[in-house]
Amino acid sequence: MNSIWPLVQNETIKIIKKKRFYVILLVLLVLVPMFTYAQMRQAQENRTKFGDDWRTELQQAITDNQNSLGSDRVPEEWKKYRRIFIQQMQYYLQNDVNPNEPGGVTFTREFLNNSSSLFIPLLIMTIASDLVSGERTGGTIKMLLTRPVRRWKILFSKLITLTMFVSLIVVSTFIICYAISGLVFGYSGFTIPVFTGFQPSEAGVDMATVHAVDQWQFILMQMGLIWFVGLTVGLLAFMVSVLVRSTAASIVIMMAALIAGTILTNMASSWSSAKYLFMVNLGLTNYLSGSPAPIEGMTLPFSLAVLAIWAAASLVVSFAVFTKRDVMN
Amino acid sequence: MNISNPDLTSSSASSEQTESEIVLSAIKVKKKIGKRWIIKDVTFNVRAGEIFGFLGPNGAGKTTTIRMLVNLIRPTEGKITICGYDVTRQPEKALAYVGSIVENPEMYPYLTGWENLQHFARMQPGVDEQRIQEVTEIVRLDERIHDKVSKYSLGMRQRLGIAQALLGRPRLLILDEPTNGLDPKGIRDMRLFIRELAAQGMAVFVSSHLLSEIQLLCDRVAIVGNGKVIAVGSVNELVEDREHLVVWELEPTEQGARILEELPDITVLDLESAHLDNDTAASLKLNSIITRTPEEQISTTIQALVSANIQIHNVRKLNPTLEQLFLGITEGETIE
Repeated sequence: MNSIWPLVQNETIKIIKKKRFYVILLVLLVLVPMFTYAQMRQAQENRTKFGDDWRTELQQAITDNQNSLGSDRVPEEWKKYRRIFIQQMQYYLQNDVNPNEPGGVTFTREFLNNSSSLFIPLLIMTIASDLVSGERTGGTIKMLLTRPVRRWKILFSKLITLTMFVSLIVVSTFIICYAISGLVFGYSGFTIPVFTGFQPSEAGVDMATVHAVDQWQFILMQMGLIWFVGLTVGLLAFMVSVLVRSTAASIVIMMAALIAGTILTNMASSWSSAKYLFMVNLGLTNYLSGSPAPIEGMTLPFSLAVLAIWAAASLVVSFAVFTKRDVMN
Repeated sequence: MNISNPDLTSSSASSEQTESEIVLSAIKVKKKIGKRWIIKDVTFNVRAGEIFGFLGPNGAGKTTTIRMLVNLIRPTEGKITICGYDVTRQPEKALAYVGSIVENPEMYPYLTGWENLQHFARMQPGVDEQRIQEVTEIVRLDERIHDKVSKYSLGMRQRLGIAQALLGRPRLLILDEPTNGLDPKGIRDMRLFIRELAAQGMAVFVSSHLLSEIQLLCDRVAIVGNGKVIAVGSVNELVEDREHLVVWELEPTEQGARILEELPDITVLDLESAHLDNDTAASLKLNSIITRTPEEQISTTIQALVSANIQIHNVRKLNPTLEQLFLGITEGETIE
């Protein structure tokens, strides 16, 4: 048995026939219209308030935020966020670019930006958490491991399949998002300029490195980063599914970790060594749009490195355990 | 049988003059889990064309041993070879000669029978669609093969499991309690089927906790208890050596029993100490007398009863149960 592709074929068939991937598509097909509708309502409301002039609307948002900076009741944390927001919006205004130019592409960019740290990892877990533990729950692991194939090869084929599905999930999210929101907001907007390269600094934002990219380029960068986050979460879930016998337990463990991540991100900053945890580093797309990092000292390269180390470690553990362990039941 | 490996053809040729080739061999296999030795000493050989029984009560270590044979569990000590290949060191070579069902035949319920077979066919070289069709026909599953496995009955799953095991034209078939959960007809079919496979030269390794099943099916048997192989031999050898229990139905019962008790070499047993299996116990009548009687004494005992004017309604020998066999074999040995 030399080729690994028949094994990858097996794993792919199992994921599809088990209807895991359909569940993911279904979730997207239900949720994206919901968000699209919410966005549409918001756009309508703004139009009645400010008419068709986005500059007035943006100026109003800047003024609102500036006013809140004077208040003592607003915590220093929030003020920092708002100062950065104000600076960014002013930059857009100066350059006469609408940051929220309505359209399917802009909606997709916003959606991707918000789904990187929780939504897409959850979708990926649907597949990754079941890959090995599913075989153990069903008892089929005995059939799988008594065939004349080395164990590492079986695990490797599952890994390749997982990588394929991570890519597929990221791409499907984009396609579904664009197709559905386009119905409402129109399909144009790929060439709208988007500013990126905001460097958080002591004063707020350093504008020196800011430059405009076309929105399609921005989305491509987002998808690359989301793919990386997805793969890391996928590998961690994969490891848990090697270690734990039941799929349910494996999903709960990963869910708890991810949700702990969002809570920690909000509590933020005071505990600085928390930045080495994988779950606070999942919001990679925030670095592109220039929102400040949840914990002091976090940058895009730092987060990429932290995620890469976690991913590599979970790979080592997965293979070491899977190839050595006695299959008792 | 399609032998493609040159090593094998030569090795089988060299041993042809003596006995048929050893397909599976376990030498001093031991397994320690935590601080406990689950398997203390398992040694046996299985030859081509033979049906080898692995007999022991539940908890004796049968399943653990089977799992070691197919590389699901790594032995702590000892060596298992299949067709000359070490199962732990070269699993991809050794397991190519094995088809197995460990415990229940668990297949993917969300795939059809055919898709399941395709799945396992992709995991071994030289298995094409035609072979899948062949094994489907061998286990007579062709009518329902394109149904989802979740809709199969236990018997159909068992047959699909066997089809899966036969896919790679194995030289050794390992079946763990193959008649578990089957109805009497299913059990009979399974027996005929296993015999047929062995007649074609396949070595079949069957585990069971039922002596009667092994007796009906197997050529040779290893008896395991407490993690050790306590005896290996032909089934008849192991069974014939033992003292037999004889059941008497006499009238008048009381008087008959008294005569039996008085005779030398005969012991009258109560139901408890006879260690009967359920089927045998159920076949006894209220007035049945169970005795331990040497075989050669049966006719003289009958004469004694007749001359005392006792009517004999029934005399029969009981097949020994596994438990009796156990007691017999381990008698005199020190058991830990």
